[in-house]
Amino acid sequence: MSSSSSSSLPPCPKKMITLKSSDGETFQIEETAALQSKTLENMIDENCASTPIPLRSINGKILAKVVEFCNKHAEVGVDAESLHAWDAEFVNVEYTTLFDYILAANFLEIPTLLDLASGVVGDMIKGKTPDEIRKMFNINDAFSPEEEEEVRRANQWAFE
Amino acid sequence: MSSSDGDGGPKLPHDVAVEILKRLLKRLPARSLLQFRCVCRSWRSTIDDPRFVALHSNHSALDPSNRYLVCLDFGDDLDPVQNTCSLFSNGSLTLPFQSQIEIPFVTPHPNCYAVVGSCDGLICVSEISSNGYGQMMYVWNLFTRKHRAVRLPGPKQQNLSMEGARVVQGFYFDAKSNDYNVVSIFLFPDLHPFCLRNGKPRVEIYSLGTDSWRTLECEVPAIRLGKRAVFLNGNLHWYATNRKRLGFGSIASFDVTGEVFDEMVLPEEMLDDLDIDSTHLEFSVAVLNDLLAVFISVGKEAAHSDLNSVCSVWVMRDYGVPESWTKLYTFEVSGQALAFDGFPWNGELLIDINFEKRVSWNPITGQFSNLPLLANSELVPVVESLFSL
Repeated sequence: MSSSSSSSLPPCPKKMITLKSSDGETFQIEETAALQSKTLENMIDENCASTPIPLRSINGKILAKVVEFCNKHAEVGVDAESLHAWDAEFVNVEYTTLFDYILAANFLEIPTLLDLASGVVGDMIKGKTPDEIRKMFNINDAFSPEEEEEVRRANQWAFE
Repeated sequence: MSSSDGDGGPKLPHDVAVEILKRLLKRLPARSLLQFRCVCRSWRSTIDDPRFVALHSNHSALDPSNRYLVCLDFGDDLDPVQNTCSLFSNGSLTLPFQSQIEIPFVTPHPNCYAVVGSCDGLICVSEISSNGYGQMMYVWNLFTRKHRAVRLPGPKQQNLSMEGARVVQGFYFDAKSNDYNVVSIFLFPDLHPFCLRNGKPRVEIYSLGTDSWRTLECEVPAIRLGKRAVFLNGNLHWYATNRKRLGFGSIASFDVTGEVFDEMVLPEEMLDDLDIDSTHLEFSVAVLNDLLAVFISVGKEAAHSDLNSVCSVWVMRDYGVPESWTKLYTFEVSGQALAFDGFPWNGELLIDINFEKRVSWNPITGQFSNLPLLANSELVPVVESLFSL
């Protein structure tokens, strides 16, 4: 693979960058696909992308999916409908994985993935009770029963 | 990244938790968010944060599923128990209403309200009394079921009375001051025998942020009573009487940031081909497809001495440019078309006929549809909002 930035001979070889996950796996991604990430775009602009980019908060399993997402969304000639169907399949996963997508997309600043995964989690939590939410988000600092009752009373109608 | 934690769910890393939480929560309806206030302290403070409220409101405005048409029905003398509002989702009145909510404020007499208008998720309603001028107005967020009662300003001097005063109001959000306001123009008819005010209108502005009124010294066009203000392009608009040419109108506007009134005279072409001697001539100002619009209805004798209406719709293609007034449609309605409104979001027209029924007219198909609304109910658009009152 050539990643020499001085190469200007047509046909221009595809510029690739290398990403390294928290568990040491490396992934190649075309620069055009990587540009969907604001974080990677900044690194490319500042010429910091010539060596493998370490992503210490993203494991190999998730990074593979993120690269897959970026590649799909950089493909030319994909019509909106089939991309929509592809996206729906992509986020048809356990919510713990969706949280990982959200965290990765947040770190890499990929708005399309962030919105997609956030939308699915948003839909998931819409009809849940506060108890279910606490379990889902692993929340330990709940109110005391008396405090909770008071907060609840302020908008009692919403629970009816 | 290991966000999973044993048998519990994922735990969001603390440094990004609030940002991500906001991103998830901004998509939820107000009702869910009011429930989720009791999840834990950090959720409650996130949901209560005015910056989150603004974020949620902006997100709601972009998503059609958060838009509602609200039909307020204050009942009438025959049926005073009615005091409900119905929510029609997605801005469509053709499907059955999604839910009904009781209007939480009451006045001594039924049907003594005037809907001032709506703005984002808030609805403003004023009391009217038998002598014209009520005591209270209400700002209501039906998504949180909270409202604020506001006393309308009284006379500025002890020896003056507000009796006989009429009020024209407009409800708006001013981005510059980041505040909801109600401009109230008090008109004092000259014919009042004890009136010392030469008929000069008094303008007061209510700020929701400071919960207070202040007086604005300015010239005011001759705004016609009884019709709701229309907000577009940073200005409120009302139909007004053109003082220079009797019988024909103009549009009065109020620049909400600069706090000045202005007047746009309507072009004479609007009256061409119209029988302006008709005793049934109605003008309405509205917004149609984001353009300022004027609807004109002229009565026309039909068979069996019924009255039909010839209606025309004009829009101002370039805001503020008088030459850009363009006639869009002309059509006939059976019955007397008394008032118009532009449907938000879908380009249809809403027409009041004979004070009896409401119909919508689709300009593309030319079809009329009867709407399941009581004749004296009022219709306003709102979007999901957590704005606290």
